[in-house]
Amino acid sequence: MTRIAIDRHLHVDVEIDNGRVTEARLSSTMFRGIETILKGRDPRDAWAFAQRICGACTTSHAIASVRAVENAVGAVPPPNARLLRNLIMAAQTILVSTGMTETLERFHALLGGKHPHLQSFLVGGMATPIDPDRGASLNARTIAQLRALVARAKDFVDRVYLPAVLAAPRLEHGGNFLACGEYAEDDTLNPLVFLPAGVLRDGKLDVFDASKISETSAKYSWIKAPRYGGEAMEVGPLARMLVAYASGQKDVKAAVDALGVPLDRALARAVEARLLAARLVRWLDELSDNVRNRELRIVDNLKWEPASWPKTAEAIAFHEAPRGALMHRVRIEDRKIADYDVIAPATWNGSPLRGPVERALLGAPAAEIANIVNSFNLCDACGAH
Amino acid sequence: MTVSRREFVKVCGAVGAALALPARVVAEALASPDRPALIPLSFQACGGNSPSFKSALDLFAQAKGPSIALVEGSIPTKPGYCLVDGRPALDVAREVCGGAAATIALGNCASFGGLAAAHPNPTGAVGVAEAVPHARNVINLPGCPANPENVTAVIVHYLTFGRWPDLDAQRRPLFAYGKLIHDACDRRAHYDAGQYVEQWGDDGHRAGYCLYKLGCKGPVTSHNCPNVRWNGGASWAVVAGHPCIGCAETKFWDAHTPFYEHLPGGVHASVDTIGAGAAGLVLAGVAVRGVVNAVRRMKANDDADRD
Repeated sequence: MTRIAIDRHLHVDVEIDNGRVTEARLSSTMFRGIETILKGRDPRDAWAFAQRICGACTTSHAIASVRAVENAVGAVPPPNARLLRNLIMAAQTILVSTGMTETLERFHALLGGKHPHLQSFLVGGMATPIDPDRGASLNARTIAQLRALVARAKDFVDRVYLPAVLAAPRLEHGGNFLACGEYAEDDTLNPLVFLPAGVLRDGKLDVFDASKISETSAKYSWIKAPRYGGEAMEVGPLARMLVAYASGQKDVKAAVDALGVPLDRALARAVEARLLAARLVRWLDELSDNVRNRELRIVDNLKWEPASWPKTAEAIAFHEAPRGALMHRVRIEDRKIADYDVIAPATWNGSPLRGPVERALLGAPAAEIANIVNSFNLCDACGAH
Repeated sequence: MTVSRREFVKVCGAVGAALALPARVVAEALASPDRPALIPLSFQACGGNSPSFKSALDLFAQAKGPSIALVEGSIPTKPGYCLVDGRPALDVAREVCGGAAATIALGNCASFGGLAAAHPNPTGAVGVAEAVPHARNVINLPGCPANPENVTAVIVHYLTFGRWPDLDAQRRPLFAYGKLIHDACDRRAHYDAGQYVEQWGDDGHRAGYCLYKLGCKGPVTSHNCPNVRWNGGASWAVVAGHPCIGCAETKFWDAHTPFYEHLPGGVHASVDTIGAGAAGLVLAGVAVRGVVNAVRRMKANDDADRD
């Protein structure tokens, strides 16, 4: 076995025969025990703990955590919270895809105080006061600053990033894909989403059913082995774009058809970044309309006090993080966390026991190992936590 | 140097702000051929300190000076939880930090064990100073993450004055941790006037009132967030509308939680019920003034009503 380092604490052990990979085992060697640390704590604090699972995708675990607790206690974030979260999430995905740090970190700092580890999340909404007539609130000046940063990001994606990715050689892909859906576009219980949920098996689209997720583990890695209907699933921008395309999402279809080449992981990231950068403008318009109409609510205050919650509750929540589908599950007993479970994108993709990365490596030329593994953009902090 | 001129000038300005030095002095220090060589080490970390890593490493590329370990992440004392290049984190930390002229701990995890060390600390995580007692010149830059401006400022301080900055009892540089968040807070005037946010999004929240009642830990946290701010001076947590969680303090994940419960004492309590201990003294001042101001405000309202 030859060991190849991928990230600070991620490596893959491979066996090579005749210049081709015959065995591959991906493993993580870093563990903190965050799910254990969360037990017994106030569920409203959970997002800050969970957020620190990852400092690269610093918004992902915070979002998934507040959603899980909201689902458990019945809190309903108001429209502004949905828009603020959409803005923050999309900026995070574009940041991870493009590496456009300065512009998008500043965008995040305006909405979350700082990046990494934005600090404006709350169970039931966002802590960002909105008031057109107050200097201490999000107002016309903030919106103008955000618009200028979005314009800069959009320009970079359209004129530099996407053309550069298009010019690079393409990688092949295959297997199963899962997307859990993201970017709610309305405030109903089952909102329309910009990027739909779905499962692709051998090119056949199926509805996403959370009850089909199960977990096992292997001795050789701290990363768990999640399965959907017993099968390993690739998650991430490619999964999102393929599922959206198969679902007939018209923006995605138009953008992909215009490329003239088939998608691969890198190209899916670039196409998605382009669509999200354009979408950011629309969400800023909506936020601006709300401010104009003095729709200033940011939190569901009726569900803030734990006394307003059921004594015992359990829920799961999903979020399409930059690197793919993320799930948090929380069980609350006596208004404290009794159990917490995270399945991160790197858990799906970096899964042991023939997960997507291991499978993509089998049979590949030895010279392609680094390219293939890097195409998944795995995160070692998220994979095991 | 691998940074652009534009970036360089910006860094000099920001670091100058942290150290209260002119940008020109900072620029001279950073261009010195004796600037230290930095060795990055990552243990049990989320990667959130990598902006600090990156900016420091870029500025100090091809340096000839003494070697300085830059550490992110806590170090597990129980075996098997963190390997670096196949070796236990503790062994690597002892070797590298033990041999370095100085070690800069980036963030609360490297400084004090941080999140992984929170109860029940499943992996026996500790900070660098505890993991490597013989390490020389350990400088802690807690925060979650460390503010990149302060990281560069520490090294500039060394290059400018020929010695490491003075530290407090927790090995934090006084220039960045010598003052309570509360004392430099943008919302401080409202605290002094007894004006508090009662509920998220209420009129006081929108007007920038004090976040004390919703759990702000600014009164017991020392850090220069209000002055240096974050991401090129864009903002900081309290300005964004959320209470300070006190991420620059030891054991804040246990000592400052639940985050949304207000500090003991304060506006609701009489002076007798204020907690004892190191924070108690600070709180006593906070609480006395809070009560006095609230009473004064109520009186003023009464007077206004009478008029």
